Amino acid sequence: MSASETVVSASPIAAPPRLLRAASRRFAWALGILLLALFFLIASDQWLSLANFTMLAAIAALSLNVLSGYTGQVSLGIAFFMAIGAYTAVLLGGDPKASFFISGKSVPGLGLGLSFLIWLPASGIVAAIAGAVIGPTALRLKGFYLGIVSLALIFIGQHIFVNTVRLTGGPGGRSFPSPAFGEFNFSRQNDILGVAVTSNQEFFLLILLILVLAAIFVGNVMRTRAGRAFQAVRDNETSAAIIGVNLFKAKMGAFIFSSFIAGVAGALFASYTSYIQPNYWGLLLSIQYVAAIIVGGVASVWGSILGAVFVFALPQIFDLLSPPQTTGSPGLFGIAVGDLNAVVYGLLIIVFLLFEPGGVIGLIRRIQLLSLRLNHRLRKGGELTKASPDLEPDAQFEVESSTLSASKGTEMFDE
Amino acid sequence: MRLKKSFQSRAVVFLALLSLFIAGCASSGGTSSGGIKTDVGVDAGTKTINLGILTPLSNSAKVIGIPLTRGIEVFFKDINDHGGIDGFKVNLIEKDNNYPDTQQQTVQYDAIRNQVLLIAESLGTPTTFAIKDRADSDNMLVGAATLSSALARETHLILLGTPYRLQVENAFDYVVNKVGDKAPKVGMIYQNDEYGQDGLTGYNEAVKAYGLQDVGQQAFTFGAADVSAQVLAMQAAGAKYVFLTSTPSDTPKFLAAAAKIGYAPQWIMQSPSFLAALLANAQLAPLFKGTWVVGQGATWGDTSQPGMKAMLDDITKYASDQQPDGFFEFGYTEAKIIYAILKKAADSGDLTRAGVYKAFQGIGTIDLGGLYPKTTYGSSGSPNDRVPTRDNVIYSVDASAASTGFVTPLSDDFVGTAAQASQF
Amino acid sequence: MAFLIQLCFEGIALGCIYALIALGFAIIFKASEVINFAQGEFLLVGAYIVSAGTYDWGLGFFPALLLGVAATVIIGILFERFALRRMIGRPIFAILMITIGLDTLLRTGVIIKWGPNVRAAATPFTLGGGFNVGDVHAGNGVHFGASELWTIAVTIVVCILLFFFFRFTKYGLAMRATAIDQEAALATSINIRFVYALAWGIAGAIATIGGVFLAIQSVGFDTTLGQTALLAFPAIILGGLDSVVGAVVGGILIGLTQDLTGGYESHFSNILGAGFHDIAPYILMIIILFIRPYGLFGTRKVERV
Repeated sequence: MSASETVVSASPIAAPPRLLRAASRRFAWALGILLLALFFLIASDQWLSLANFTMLAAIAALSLNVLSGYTGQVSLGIAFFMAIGAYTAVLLGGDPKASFFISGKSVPGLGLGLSFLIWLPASGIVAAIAGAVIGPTALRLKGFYLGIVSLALIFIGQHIFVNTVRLTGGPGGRSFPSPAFGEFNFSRQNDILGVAVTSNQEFFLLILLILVLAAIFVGNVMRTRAGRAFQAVRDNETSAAIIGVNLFKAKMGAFIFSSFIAGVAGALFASYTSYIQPNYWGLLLSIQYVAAIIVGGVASVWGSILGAVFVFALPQIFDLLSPPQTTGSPGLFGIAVGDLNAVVYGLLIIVFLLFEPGGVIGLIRRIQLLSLRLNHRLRKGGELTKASPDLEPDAQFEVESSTLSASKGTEMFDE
Repeated sequence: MRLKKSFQSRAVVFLALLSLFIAGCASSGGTSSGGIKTDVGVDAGTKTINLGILTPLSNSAKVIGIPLTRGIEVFFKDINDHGGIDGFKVNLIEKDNNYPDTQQQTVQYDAIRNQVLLIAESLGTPTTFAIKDRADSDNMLVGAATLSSALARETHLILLGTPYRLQVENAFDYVVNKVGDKAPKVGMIYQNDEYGQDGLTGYNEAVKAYGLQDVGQQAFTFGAADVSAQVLAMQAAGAKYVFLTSTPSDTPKFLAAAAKIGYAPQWIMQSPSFLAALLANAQLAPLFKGTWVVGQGATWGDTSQPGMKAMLDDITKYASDQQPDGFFEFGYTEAKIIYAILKKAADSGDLTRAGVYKAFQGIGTIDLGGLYPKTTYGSSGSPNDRVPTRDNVIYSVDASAASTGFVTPLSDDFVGTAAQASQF
Repeated sequence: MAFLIQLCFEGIALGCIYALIALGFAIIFKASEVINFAQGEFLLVGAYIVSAGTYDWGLGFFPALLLGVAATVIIGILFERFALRRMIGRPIFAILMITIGLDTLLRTGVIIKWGPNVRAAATPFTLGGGFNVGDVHAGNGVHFGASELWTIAVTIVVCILLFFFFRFTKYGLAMRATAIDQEAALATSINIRFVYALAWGIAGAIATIGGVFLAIQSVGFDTTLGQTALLAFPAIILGGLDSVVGAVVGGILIGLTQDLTGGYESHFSNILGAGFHDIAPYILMIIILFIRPYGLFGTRKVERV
């Protein structure tokens, strides 16, 4: 893999897709914000709840994309770091009077009752510290070794969580704090300027804000020197070392950065779900995020978000839109809708990997390219002209590079 | 310039929609139908009460979710065919919660929270816990299809049946007080999660209360590949009675591991460890020979109990292919309790959530026609009061008794001394 | 003492199951540098087909076993041919995920076809078979169960067959050559596609054997059977990802660790927590990796900077 290809592939992928250019881009943003505002106002609880979980998944997928998509380190350990974030949140923000009913006795729970302005950032920081502690051991390993050792993190983590009863509530789990400003608690309906705002709407705004911050943060970091170092490590460790990237520092940086976002995602997730048992932070959770970035688009901010939509929202949408179910209903083709969803989930992963390695984001870029070409032909009255220098090469460039970067898995041959 | 203009026009549309929305919000409020106050979840026009159901309809847990929910469906079909509740028909809105997926449970709860009067069934402990805070803030009652003790501390949950913890205590009460085996060597094998912990708590309380010799407590993980270590440890310690808190998925492994090494303790199973379908399998049936299971309620087919007779009649009418199944019976009974609460609320002219909650608090004792023993919900607000029953029946598993779901009762319905005294 | 011996015996039998799963991982990894996360569901599919063949379709155990082996071999080869071959050169992550996609499909397929109920394992011998040394009933004897003895014997036979295959047959040599250096193997006109297909075929066959014996040890099994493969991961890492010997040694070590910690766990559960036996294999794996980052028998790849 030549160095020039590396550079070509790395930088444009990091940028958000240029949906449209210049002026029309501003319009697209305005439209996007308008749609979100409309959704916020008219969506029912079920759609808000779905949107909230999807955005939470997108934050976690962003975190995984930093480590695995941009830096190429295969990890299944994200659920562990999310749990660290969640338990930091509950330690700092949990109800000081919480008690758990364990073995027929009341056990006092840990919780300091601090503001969410403290526990939310702290959840990221503590998870990042956990990443910094575990990183040096984990990052000695490469490829599948790292992937499987990160499995150990999940299982050992769960064992610890189940046994640290006062923090986690033991196997039975515990309640997590809701964000609150004084009397304004996100778990309840509140009045803002005389308009009733539901709990789901409040969370929608908060989670959206965090998602946007995380997306901008990740997008920007990937354009800095550090971000380019991450991507150089992914593309080829040996060449990265040759061009002067400190492999250890780059990997550690990505690991810590990723853990930070995972911690925040975990804390928010726990807070929104309100009650969680330690079993929840398992392998399945991690795998869902891996699926999200694969389906959405590896090493792409928009890919993480779209991946979350496909992996988390789509099955739920099928379920919500499917005809009313009863125990006697045959489902579709005689298969229960839930089972069919699992089949679709599996197929979606396989089909995307095989036919659209760039994920949903790659697909969108391809469609954009096609529509741009079509547009040109129409505008020039069907005349076959050379592409406009303003539009065509850039779009072309992005499609190619997205395919390139996704097919650039050289690690496995390097071991 | 063009851009600016279109943005402005869109902004106008947006504001128009916004004002429509706010206007729409203001008009929602309570209505009343035939003197009965109604609100969310009740359609006064069509006289329909909507009840929610969150249960696994797919994946492996449907083995419990489907028969249990079917029990509820059958009960309300019969109610609807006999005029409904004070003229209101009951409509069930069923959602697949993909147990134990708490996230899907939450989304599904949010999907129906503004459509239903109450949740008639929420299956599973982690799933039910995941929605309890939402239910509290919605003033929504939730019928919990799980016997976890921890749920007794929640104000909006309607429990049914004797908790797992008391099942274990009653089992050892039977050993000590009915069988007359004083201070036997006993052991406990439990699933390493919240369900297993509940059983373990009961076990430790039973050991203390009845002076049993505890020779070992062994944990295992759901779906474990091999459980011979746990069984060997029990054999080495000489446990004469081994209590097993597991799921049908793992139960045969323990019985097989013991049978292989010729170890034959008296196995006592928690109610979810056993499933009639296990016995319907000719290869698995011999493993269960001589085992006991702690259960509750009328034996399937025992028509001397009016509740059982009514249930069997309903099955003939609405679900003739239903096999004997304890989960069906549980669901049917749960529906009976929901019905009693709704009936009381309707009779007092208030089918709003607040009215239904009030009805639940004042419901007192519900006679279930012997299907389950008399079930009492106290109004003091103490968790002890929310445990509806404390009795059990000890059954022996009997491969020849297909018509009763492969069990024959060994004891009457009884409350052990330890279960009576347990605090929640 | 009898207790310890019995535990070791059970641990080795369990370890043989892990070894069979790990062998599937290792053979595929050696040939194509892919970790097949769907290996557990290959076991599941195999075990279900053999059970259904024996009890539902009335084929008898051995024809059903052949049918099950054929099914997983075909699934493996088809998956390799139509999915994985297109993934060559793609990131590890993508390859891992496509096998997870297959995993989901296979498990859901089994649930849809056979439902969630517990099934009886197909078996050619009776449950209580085997022989005793000492008085088992009094707790001071050891029972050598037929299902465990058969599991151990079959694992040994599989290992011997694999040894001869790799050492003395043309295709075995081709596989080894490919594992060492793909390009060089190509240059000597080895058909690499055939080698890949062969690896997946062998892994599929071993998976059904593993699944059937795992099911036999449990007597009753359901769709959770496949999750056993998660504990074969520490086995292959312990042994070294690309080592066939390592897979077997790793598997048996993991089985022993799990049963021995399980047997004595209750004495330490105050300190280590209940259920420690399920994470002991992972802890053992991490300790070994500290000492040998490429496992006990794995090859360290040379990198020059």
